[in-house]
Amino acid sequence: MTESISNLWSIALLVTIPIFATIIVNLLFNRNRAIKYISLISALSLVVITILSPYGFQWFTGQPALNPNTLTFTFDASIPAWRMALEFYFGPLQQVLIFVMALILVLVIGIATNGLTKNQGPYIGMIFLLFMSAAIIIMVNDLYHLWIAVEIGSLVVVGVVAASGEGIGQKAALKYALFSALSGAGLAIALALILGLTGYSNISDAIRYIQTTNLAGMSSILYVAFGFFILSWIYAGGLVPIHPLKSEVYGAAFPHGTAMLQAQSKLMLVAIGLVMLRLFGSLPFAREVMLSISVLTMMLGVVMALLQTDLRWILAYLIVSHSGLVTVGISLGTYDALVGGLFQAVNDVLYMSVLLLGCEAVYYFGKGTSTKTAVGIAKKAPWLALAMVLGTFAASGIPPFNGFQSKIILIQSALKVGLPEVAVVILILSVTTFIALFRGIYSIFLKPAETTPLAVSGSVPSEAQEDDKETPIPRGLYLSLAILVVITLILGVYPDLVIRFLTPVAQAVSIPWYP
Amino acid sequence: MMLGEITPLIIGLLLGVLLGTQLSAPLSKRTVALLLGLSIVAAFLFGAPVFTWSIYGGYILPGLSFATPFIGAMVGLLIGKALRGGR
Amino acid sequence: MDPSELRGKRGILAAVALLIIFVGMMSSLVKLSGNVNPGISQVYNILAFLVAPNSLSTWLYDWRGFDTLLETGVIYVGAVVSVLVIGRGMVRMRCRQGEPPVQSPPLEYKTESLTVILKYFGLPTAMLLVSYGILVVTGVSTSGGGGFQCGVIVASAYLLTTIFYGKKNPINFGKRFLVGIGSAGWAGYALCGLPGFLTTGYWQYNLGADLWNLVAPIYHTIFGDPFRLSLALQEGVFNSTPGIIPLLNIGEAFNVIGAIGLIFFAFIYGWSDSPADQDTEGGKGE
Repeated sequence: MTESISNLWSIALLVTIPIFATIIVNLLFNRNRAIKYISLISALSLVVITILSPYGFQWFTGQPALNPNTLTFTFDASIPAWRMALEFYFGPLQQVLIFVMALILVLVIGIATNGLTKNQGPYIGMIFLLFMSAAIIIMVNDLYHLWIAVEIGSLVVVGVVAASGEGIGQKAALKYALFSALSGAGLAIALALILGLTGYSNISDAIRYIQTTNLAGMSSILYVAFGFFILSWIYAGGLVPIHPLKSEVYGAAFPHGTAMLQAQSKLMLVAIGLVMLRLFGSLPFAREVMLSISVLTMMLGVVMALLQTDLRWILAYLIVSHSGLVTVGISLGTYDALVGGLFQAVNDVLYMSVLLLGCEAVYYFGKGTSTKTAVGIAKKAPWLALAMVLGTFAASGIPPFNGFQSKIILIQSALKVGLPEVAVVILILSVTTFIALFRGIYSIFLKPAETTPLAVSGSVPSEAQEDDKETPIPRGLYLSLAILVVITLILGVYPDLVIRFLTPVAQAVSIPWYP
Repeated sequence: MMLGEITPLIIGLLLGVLLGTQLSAPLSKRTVALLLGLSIVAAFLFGAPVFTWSIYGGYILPGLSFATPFIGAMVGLLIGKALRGGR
Repeated sequence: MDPSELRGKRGILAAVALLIIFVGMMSSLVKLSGNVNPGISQVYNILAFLVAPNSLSTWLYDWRGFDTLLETGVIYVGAVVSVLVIGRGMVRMRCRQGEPPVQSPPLEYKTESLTVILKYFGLPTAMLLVSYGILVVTGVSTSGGGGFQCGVIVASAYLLTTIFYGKKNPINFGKRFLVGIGSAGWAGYALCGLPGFLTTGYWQYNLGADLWNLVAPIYHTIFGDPFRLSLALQEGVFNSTPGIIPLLNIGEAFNVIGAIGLIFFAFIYGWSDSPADQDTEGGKGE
């Protein structure tokens, strides 16, 4: 992090373009054509900005930093000085994560504006704010702003889920709203304690203060702050023990909405996890606590996924259990593990999006996504079936897809620090993911249609309302699936395309497992 | 006199007009007079900011001043309501 | 959540967790009391009066101005989401109808029981309250006040007349007005950052005050002079200006009026997207 520029243009635009897009589409409300063009242009511009932007800092409101040695004010970001302004950083990790999120934003906006009924304004606005909150959380280097972004992010999740208007969505949304309010409060307390202890809300400054000052008896406050941080980390990513809550959220939203939700949630996990590693990584037992939560999440999530009979819910639980993979890498905190965890976050977002968009396509056959009602779709849509199978391969870590590359790094790093148990759990997760997914995909796509009780449709009255007519799948959905599958394949063959963006951060943050 | 003493009055008037256009109930002349009277009383109670030095900003004597934006807002509300036609 | 879920083992677990949290927090607070490190706030306090005499507004809208933009956003999103739950902007998938959307009916309440005197004084009181709200937002830099407070006061005036008059509300905020003013508020706040961004590259740089001499004097005239006051302080007499802070606060106030007004509106009158609605006026839809 040696870039000295403190007024990088792209950071301000990455944050404010979604704000303006949200406001405009919310005002347009039901003019779907205008909403479509404005939102697509904004989303595409975000992708372009992410690609073109150099690295650097943005000091919002343009206040300088005070150099404590010379007592002078400076606008040079490379000089270690106390920041007066709110600091955002855009570096290689930010670039790759925000790029992936923006790409999914474009695809999701394309699908949502075509596949939804009228009055889309507020919903599309919420999708943009999901992007904004994730982008802020991954770029911000300020505890106070991190908290606000987490707050706004969890509120927006509620909006996206409640927009479906179904009872299950509203219930999940309200439950999540209640608990996320608690987690927001927890994060606020954590930042208040750190602010009281150090006097700096800038994360780098706070860390510098903690490292250079003898805290003596005050260091127990750090543990309490760590506890509250863990609380908000759990809620942000849906880790154990609130995994059922987050899975409900994932299952109740529209599948394309879930693709954005899981991307946001993984970015939040990465960002908060890295902050925790920087602030508390050297505290004894801190990483052990994080690691045990991650391992439990992986196991419980995948077991719950095995029990489901609806593709939507299988995916909902798998997303949660795969969040555990990301956090395992971050909790181990060594260089290899961090690279693996961050790479896993990128891969996870991509292959889960393949599966979720495929799940959305299944709705077009008019029989829902339950493995009991929707069968034999492969005959009608062979390409969709192929995409789903490839997505399953990627998710289960089968070469040559991207999931394999990150999982192998994670397994190796777990073995390197002397934790073969973790490596075994990751292996089990891969195998079980394959079983859970393939069970669902087999009955929906490959099972012959004649075994369905279609002739005796009267016997399943509860599913009768799902029995809408078949609609052709929009071309945009196929195109999105194709783009994502190709990316998973390319990253599986050339993982270095992403990994070279992750190594600088891993080098800067990593801590040896037994220091 | 500094501009900062008058700008709040103008902003108050404009915001009053904006919100006044949303009012829709008949107001008798007596009520209007009552409102204006009360707003002057209220303006004296609130007083002007201590950094105001001119009569335009509401400063009369040390310890005696009135909050011009309050009166401006009330006048604005009445104007706005009249613009709407008092539906 | 069903409160009965908290009986038995779950309840005990929850109670133990709360106890641990409470003990941890209280012990830390006791340790911190008297030992709070001032850190960067010393610098903030030393410089605050150079912008606005009310240093709280300098903190909120200059040093940490971008935080406040996002907090404004929290209010905006809160309103949009609350009203979305009531029924504004529910979406369905085109290929699948599913169950009908959950609709919330308006509250039923009677206004006949209120006395004539209350009804007679309702509107004048509300108008005085609105004026007070506007006074509060204009005094942001010179006295305690600001956009949040203005918005809440005006929204409370709206609630007051709603309770007094029911459907024949004299403060006749329409759906479109509320959505529009809320959006205009947040957008206006965000747009105030643009001039600073274009001239210095720092988003939301306070051009009018220009503490760090980054822009040409012409910008001091445009953004600073309308709010310039001569301050007689201990340190001497300063002709200082809060710059864009009053503008930010007007945006803030609009946003809060729109957001809280919209929540009141939706919860009391309900929401329907029937063709007679204001929201569908002029919209072509599909």
